[in-house]
Amino acid sequence: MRAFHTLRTKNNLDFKLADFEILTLIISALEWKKHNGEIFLYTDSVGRKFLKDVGILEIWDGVETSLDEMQELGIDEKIFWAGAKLFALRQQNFPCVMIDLDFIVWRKIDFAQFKSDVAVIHRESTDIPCYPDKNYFRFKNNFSLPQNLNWTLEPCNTAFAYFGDKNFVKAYCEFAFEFMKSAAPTENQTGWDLLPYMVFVEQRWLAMCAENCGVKVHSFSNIFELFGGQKFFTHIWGHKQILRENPADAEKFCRDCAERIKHDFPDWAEKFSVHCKNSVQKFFQ
Amino acid sequence: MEEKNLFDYHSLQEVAENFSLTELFTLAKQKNLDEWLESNFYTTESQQLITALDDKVSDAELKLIICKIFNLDFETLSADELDEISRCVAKNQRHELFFDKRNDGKKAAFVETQSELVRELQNGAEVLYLYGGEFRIPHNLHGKTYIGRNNAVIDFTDDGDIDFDERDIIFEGLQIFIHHPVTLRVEKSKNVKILNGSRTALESRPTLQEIFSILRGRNPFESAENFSQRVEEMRGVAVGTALLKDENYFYDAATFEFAPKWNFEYVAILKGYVNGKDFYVKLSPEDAQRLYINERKLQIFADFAYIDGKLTILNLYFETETLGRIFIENILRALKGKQFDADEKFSSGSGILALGYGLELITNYED
Repeated sequence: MRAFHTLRTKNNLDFKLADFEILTLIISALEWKKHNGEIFLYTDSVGRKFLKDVGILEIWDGVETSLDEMQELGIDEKIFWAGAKLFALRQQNFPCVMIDLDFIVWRKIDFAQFKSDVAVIHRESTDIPCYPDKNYFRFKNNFSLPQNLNWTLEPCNTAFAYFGDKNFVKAYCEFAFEFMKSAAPTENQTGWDLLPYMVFVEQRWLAMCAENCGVKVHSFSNIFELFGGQKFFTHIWGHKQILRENPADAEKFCRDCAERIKHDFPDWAEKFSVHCKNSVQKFFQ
Repeated sequence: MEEKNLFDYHSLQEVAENFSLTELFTLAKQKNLDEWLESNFYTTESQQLITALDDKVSDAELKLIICKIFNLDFETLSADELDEISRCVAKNQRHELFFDKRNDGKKAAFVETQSELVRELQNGAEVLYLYGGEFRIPHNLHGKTYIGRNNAVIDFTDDGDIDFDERDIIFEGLQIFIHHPVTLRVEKSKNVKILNGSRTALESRPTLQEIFSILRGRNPFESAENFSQRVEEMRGVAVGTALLKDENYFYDAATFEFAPKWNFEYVAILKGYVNGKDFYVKLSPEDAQRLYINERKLQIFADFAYIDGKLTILNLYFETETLGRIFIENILRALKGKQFDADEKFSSGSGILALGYGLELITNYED
C-alpha cells in the first residue's frame, strides 16, 4: 500500500526539526516500507533541502516539492498548519494512506478490507474543547457552512488515515480548501481560539463529508486501546511538547530511536553514522 | 519526660531556645507569657504583649510580636508559620505605607477584608482605611469616614436613594459600584467615582420583559426565523459583573484575568458557555492600569444568537468609559499555561490535550 508523509516548511529558511522529530520520521518511513509498501514525501523546496542536508532524503521512495504551490492558495497557514496534508492528499492516486511524520506502524495491515471506504486511526469525542458548535466559526466572502452537516458525528483523527476513493477525496478536499480560504476568525479569536478552525476542516469535516457522500468510515483502533498497551501503533503526538521542554528526556528518546533503527535497519544505521550531517549523527556512532 | 516550666528560665534567649513558637503562642493566650516577661524585668516587652492581647490582634499578629520579642530564628519556624508571619509582615508594611496616623483624634483602623471592616466597626472605629478589596458599608452607622487605598471599591446593593451627607458618612478616594439606578448624595466626600452597575442592557432595549420573554424560548406558534430575529435584538444584555484585581494582571502576556460573577437570570444559557473556562481581557499595562484606577468593577454585557434551536452567546464585553468596548476572551482551563505556537508541528490539532501512545513500542524489540 502506497503511503505519503507531508512536511511543510512554508519555505522558511530558518526551518528546523528537532533531533527527536528526525529520528521519529526515519522510523516511520522505514517501518512502513518494511511492513506495508512504498512511502513518498510531499514537501516544499526548503523542506527538501533541509532533509537532504540532514542526509536522510533517500529513506523515501520519492520526494515531491509540490507544496511550493501552496503559497498561491490564499490560506492562512498560521491557522491551517495541517492544510499541507490535504494539499498533498489531493495529488495522490487511490487507494493510499496518509501518515503523519510522528506516527509509526509496526505491523502489516490488511487494507483490502476497506475497499473504497475511509479508515482512520481513531475517532474523537466532540466533548474535546477544540470542537465547538458551528456558531463559533466566522467566514468572509459569503461563505457559510452547509445546513445539512451532522454535528453529532465523532471527528476522525487523521494521523493515520486510509482513503479508498478519489471522488470522496475530491469532495473532501474541495470543501476543505474553500473553508480554509474563507475562514475569518474574529479579532478576539486568537491563540488557542484558532485551533477549532484547523481541526474542523481536517478531522470533523472528514466524518461529515463521508456521511454526506455515503462513504463508510472505519477505525483502526480506539483511544482506549491505543493508550492501553496495543502493539501496532505509535503516535508521538502531544508528547512532542514534553520532549521539547525536557532536553534530558529528549536525549534519551533519541538514543532509544537510534537503537531501534540500528536493530531493525542496520544498513541504514551504518549510512546515517557516516552521511548524516546533523546532530542526529552522534546517536549512530 | 519532664514537662518544661517557663518560669525555670530567666532570659529571652533561654526561652527562645527551649520553646517553639506554637508553645509560646499558647502561653501568651493563657496570660503566662506576659507574666513571665514582667517577672523577669522585660517590662517594655510585657506591655507590648498585654496591649496586643487587649486589642485582640489576630493570631498571626500575635505570633509576629512574639517572634520579635524573642528574636526567634527563622529556621525554628515551620513552613506554615513562616508563611503566616510573612503575610502578617506584608500587611503591616501596607499599613505603614497607606495608613495616615493623623485622624483628628478619631479612632482609625486599616482593613483589608470585609470581616476586618465589620470587626473594626464593632470596635468603634470612626475612620476606616479600606485597602484594595471590595467592601460593603452599613449606611445606618452615621459619622464614619471611609478612605480608599489601592483602588478599593464599595459595592452598593441597595435600591433606594441615600443621602450620605446627612448621615455624616464621608468617602474619600473610592469607587462606588451601584447595582440599581439610585442617587447617592456624597457632596461632602472627595474623589469618589460612581460606577454604574444598574443597567439591564446597554441601550433602552431589550427591556427586562423582552429579555424574559426570549429566555422562555420560542413560542410554538412562532417561526424559527422570527424568534431568531428577536434574539438578534438581544444585544448588550448585562449578564454579570467583574472586579479587577491588580494581582491578576499578567504583564508579559498583557492580559487581565478576572472571575466573573454571573447573573442567575441567565444561568440556563451561561452554564454551558462558561463551564471550564477562565476569562480575561487583553490590555497593555498602561490601559490596564487606567481601567483599574478608574473603573475597577464593571458590568459584563452579552450579545446573543439563536442557532440550531439553541440560545447561545455570541460575544461578551465590557463597555467602559475609560477605554470603550473591550471584548472578553476566554481560555479553556485545560489549555492554560500551554503556549500556542503557530509553527508547532502537532500532527493532529487535538494532540494539544493528549500525550503520545505506543511510545514503549520503540524499545519493544519482540517480533
